[in-house]
Amino acid sequence: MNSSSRLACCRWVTAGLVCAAFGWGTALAAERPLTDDHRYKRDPVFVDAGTLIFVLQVRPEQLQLVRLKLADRKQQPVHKDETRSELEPAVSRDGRYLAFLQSRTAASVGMVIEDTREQKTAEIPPASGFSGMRSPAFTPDGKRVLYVFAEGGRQKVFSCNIQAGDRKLLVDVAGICNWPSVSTDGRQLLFGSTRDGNYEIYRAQAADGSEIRRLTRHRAQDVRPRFSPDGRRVVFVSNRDGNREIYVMDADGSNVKRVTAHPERDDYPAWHPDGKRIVYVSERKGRFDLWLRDVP
Amino acid sequence: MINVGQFRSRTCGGPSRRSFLKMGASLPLLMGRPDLASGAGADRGPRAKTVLLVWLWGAPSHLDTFDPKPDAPSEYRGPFSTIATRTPGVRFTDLLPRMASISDRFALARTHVSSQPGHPDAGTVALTGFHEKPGPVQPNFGAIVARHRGRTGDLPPFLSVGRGVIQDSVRIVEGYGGGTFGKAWDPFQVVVKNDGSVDLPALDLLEGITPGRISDRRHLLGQLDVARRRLEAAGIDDWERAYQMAYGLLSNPSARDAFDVTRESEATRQRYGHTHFGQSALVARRLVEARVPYVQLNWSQTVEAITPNYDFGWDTHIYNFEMLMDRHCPLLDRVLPELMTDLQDRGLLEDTLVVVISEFGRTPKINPRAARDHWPQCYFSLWSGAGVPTGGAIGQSDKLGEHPLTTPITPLMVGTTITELAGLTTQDRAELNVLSGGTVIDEFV
Repeated sequence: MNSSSRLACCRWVTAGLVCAAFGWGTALAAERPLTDDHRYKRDPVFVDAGTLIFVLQVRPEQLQLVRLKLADRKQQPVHKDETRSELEPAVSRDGRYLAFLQSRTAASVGMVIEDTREQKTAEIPPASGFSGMRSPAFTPDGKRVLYVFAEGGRQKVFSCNIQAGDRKLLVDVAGICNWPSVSTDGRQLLFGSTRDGNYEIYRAQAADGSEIRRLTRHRAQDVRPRFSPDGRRVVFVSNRDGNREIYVMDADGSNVKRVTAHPERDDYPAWHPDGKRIVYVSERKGRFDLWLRDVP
Repeated sequence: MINVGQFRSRTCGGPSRRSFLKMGASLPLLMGRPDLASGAGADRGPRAKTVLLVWLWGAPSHLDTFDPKPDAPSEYRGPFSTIATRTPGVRFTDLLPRMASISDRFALARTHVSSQPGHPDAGTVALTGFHEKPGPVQPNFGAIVARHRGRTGDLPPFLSVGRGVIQDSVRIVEGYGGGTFGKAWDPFQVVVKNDGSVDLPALDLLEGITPGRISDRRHLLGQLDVARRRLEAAGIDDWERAYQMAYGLLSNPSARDAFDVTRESEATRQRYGHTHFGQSALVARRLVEARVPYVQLNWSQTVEAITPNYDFGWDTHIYNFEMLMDRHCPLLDRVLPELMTDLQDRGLLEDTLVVVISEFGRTPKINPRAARDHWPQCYFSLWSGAGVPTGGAIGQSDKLGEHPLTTPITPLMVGTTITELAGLTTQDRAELNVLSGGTVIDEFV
């Protein structure tokens, strides 16, 4: 066995021992794959309990939004004839609105808000030059979309209405903010920020971005926070144990628990509407698939 | 699996100009030109029998990877923490834990400088040592090594592995190939697909001929005659050698095998990862193993498809931190350590020089879009194998990563050092009229 094989083998064995020691064996057994095509994917999000949308790299230069039915695992492109890359989808709670990013020209990305019932779209086009929004997220009432946009060297949290108008600045702190998520009651805002050095997770008042409170404190990167449907827990991603894994914590930052334990990367978690499970992208043996699992 | 391509842009009357240009970019080193090989390098036993240049096209941020500045002001340092490496006193960002764990297997150079701020121009400078203008464009380091070494087997002496000729949204990097040596010294293009299958565009020349049909000599000769007539009618000279080489590749199973990653175990393919860059690196390792004198492994050009039809590479004018964290660094941190470890395990690093480099770095100061732009004033490279002292850092950049504090390393020095380690003396370079005025990086030679 060469050193590469030994390295890989050791990682699997170590992961197994860690799982056994922490009683994760049962939880691991409860996970199941939702895809088996192994292609690069990201950004899964549930539309309803039986449907999710995710991003699939269908060719080297295109990321495509794909709808997946859990019942039969059938996949269909959301926008069949679209040739531009689309990524980071967000869905309103009633499933009517879909927000996502859409590439335009070189390093130029716009944000589209689609009314799937009326077949209408609104958009925030990219600014001139290299520019792009990121991380759209709906408020629970489905009336506004939060997103981040960089200007002046800081990446800030904004919101707009579903006609892509009435743009308001919500959070403007030093560094880079990303991944806004609003609690189901509409009162609390989660986001990641580098305001204190590296990526940490913060909570603030959703109405105006005030009362910012830091929830994580670690030298590693704590990213991609999302409120559980009941607003009591937060799922996030961290490399605090060496590689990207998924964690949950209470909404006040306490009671952090590791959810995944694989030698490769687990990322892009999203809550199932039942609040008991998450879907995520797991890289295993160099391949990428969606997995669904219980949350301890 | 190896796919023998077709003349996709051929017209009814024969190959179009576009086809010929395409072939011109992929064929020439089919002609090994052994007559020009000095053989001197081989007599002396070059430290680097093979050079593997890993080309990080698009230019990664040095601050967010191998030369972090954790004590710099927030508008410079970026969001990533740093981690210890196996090299005393050297830290990487926490995006590169596996690279940190094998840092004793390579040397880090932190004081590279370029004179050009744009990708194609800087790419040419980085790969040839000289500016594109006023021209003529000088030969790629690979062409120099190839011409000196000559063809040593059935494989061409200079191969470029990736998705084709490197280019940005506007034009190709002129210094990708033979330059003043002529297109005969352009690299043989090896196009790797995501699933690891390989296209060899040069074999388009033998349209309709597949390895499975090559035993049918009558059919083969008929096809060759048809292709020859078309090419001669178009005024293309010296294609006899091209036919011979292409035929050699098609008919020699061992030569073809060098491109075939399906001959690797699934476990090996998984360790590299089933990504374009991962499988390309595996092809590159097989070519090193086949003792090809010079292999250029190109970063997957559209690693994150946020820009349509644009070879974005590491060119992170927007989303720099997100892209490095989500895609680029996890990919690099999987593939490079695997490649270096694999080469070492196979005993190939002793006489293989691995150089990881780009055309420039990225702005230490975070730009208005919370990302980083081009920065030719300071960037990094990694060197391993061929007796290069490893486990150290060569040179030091200033506290903001804006400029070298110690002797700057120019692209001309890079090319001179690579060719020196590959067996070319100062006299050899003078006779080839290349890399004039170049000096070596003393620490590596």
